[in-house]
Amino acid sequence: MKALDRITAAWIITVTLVFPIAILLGILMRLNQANVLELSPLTFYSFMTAHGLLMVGIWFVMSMAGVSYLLQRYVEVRVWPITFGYVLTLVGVVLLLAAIFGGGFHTGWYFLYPLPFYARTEEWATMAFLLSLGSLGVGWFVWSLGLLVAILRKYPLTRALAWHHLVGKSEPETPPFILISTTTLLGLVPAFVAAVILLGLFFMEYLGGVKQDALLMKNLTFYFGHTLVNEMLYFGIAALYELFPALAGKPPYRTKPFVALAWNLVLVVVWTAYFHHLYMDFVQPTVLQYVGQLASWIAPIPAIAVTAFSVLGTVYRSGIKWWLAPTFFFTGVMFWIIGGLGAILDAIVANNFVLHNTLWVPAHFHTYNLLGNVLFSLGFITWFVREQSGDDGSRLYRPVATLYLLGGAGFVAAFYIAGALSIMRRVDKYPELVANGGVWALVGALFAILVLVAVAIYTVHVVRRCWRVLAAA
Amino acid sequence: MPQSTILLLFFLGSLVIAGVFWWVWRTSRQPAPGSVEPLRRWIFVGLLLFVGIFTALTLWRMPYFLYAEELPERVIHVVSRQFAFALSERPIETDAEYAAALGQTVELPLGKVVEFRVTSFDVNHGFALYSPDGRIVAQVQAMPGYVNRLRWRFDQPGEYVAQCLEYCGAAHANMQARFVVR
Repeated sequence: MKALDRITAAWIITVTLVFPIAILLGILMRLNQANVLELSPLTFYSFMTAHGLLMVGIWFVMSMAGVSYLLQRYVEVRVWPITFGYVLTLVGVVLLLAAIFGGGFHTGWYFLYPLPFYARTEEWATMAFLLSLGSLGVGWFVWSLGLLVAILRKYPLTRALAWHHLVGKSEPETPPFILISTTTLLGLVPAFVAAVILLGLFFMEYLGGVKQDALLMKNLTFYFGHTLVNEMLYFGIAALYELFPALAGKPPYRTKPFVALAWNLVLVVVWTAYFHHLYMDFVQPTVLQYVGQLASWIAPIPAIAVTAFSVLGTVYRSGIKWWLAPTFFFTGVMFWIIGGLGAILDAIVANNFVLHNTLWVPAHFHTYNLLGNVLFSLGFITWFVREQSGDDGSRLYRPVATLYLLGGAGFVAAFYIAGALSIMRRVDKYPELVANGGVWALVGALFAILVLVAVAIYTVHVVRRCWRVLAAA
Repeated sequence: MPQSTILLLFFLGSLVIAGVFWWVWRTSRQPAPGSVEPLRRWIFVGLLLFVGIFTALTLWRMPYFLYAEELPERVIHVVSRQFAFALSERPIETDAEYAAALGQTVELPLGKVVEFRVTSFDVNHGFALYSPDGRIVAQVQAMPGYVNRLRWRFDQPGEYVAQCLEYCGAAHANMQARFVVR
């Protein structure tokens, strides 16, 4: 479908152009922490807010765009919800950048209540930010519903969730891609509902002066934010399930009972793991802290036991031809698990007591995002470019893969070590208390520059070819 | 678990994971029939054991119940506000009391249980206790409208720093208080 090709190409061009800019913001932050640069605190925290929101935003939409494109293999996909999502995303990003760089809005990406009423230089910035979130939320919600409706038109809900596979039936088969996409889209619905409530409460205070409960707002914020980021990762996994076996010259993955069980478990567990963000809020009911640790530890089992094992089994003695797309998927799974290990160590309440809000946190989320989720989407993008242009980017393989993976691994290692040394996150300059923070910031920045070089090379390759898809229209 | 142990566990685990992926990648260069499918069940059982053992070892060590059976020797009221902590042995409920408590010298007893009652007058803050050798020993959040109670026993004398660990605005990095344990 040409229209789907074009909107997918548009997403890819947008995302791959914003990606290096967002990386550059991150490098400037680390160089400032290393005292190589002298940014004002306001500039630093504006960069921090923009970096976080742009990264979460672009990789969420890219993973959705990948699933939207691949979904046409099974169901009829309507393009208008995707285009609607694209337009509202652009509107949201313009408002967001206006709030940050015009209104001095600098709350960090998760805008923890009541910080949006304090961390700004212009009062209108809070309104612009809330409207930006509203625009993004509406666009993504409609887009998600569009995909869900497309699936449910062909697959009744219980079949889309593969419940008949749970009881041992093998026919009619629910493809793993449909199962994972459905659980992910369903998982998003309550997250969007939480976001609507959150925004409503923010507006009540902004417009009506009604003070909100900080604990409730924090729960809503992290329920929404954590779930969104988790589901983004699962969209990437859906693309991997669909594309990786063919890339390895193997038959498609099948939905077996344990696969159905795993992804139905993920659907439920993902809703409760977010409690680990509130471990250090001792007034949160203690039972929820237990649920948080248990859910955080149970969540990776189905994902690892099924996905990682399937990918390893596919590659084992396969004779697979390695090029950028399968390499991105394969190494993405490896770093996803490594990042997961860092995350579950932090999800032990007793460990979080000494790691919370240190650099251990960006360490693990950069591992499973920059080196996991992003690689899944880059795998899809590389495959898409080959489908459209016939060019598999073989000239780029060694430099891009080497620079990206080496740079990424060094970059996150500097975060892990610094986190274990009690060096805090989200500070523009390190206080004397943790004077060695600057050294690890410099190490991280140098490795991140390698990633930036790889991404710049890759972006030129991708944008030129995707532009031809758009121009062909 | 001390931070150094967590880091060691992480690096060892990462090496094992990377080693498995590297080995499988190497086998892919020599195509041959074979399947790792029989291992799936054992890996699943191994993961369950890993999760079960770690959960059993760690779940009961919650900081919410630290020294719950003991009476604290001292109670310190902590109020956070952009961008300073006020610490006092008396409750701080007004702006004037907050201003009066700012910069007060606080000394805490070595080897005795101290209870910090931590809240905020504006946004969320973090209240992390850094030992004299620069390591976090304990922390709790400071949330407007709520009082978080943190109990801790200081086993090392010297000057401690309470550092804000929840991003709270442009001067967040400098939000500190100091106290002496002797």
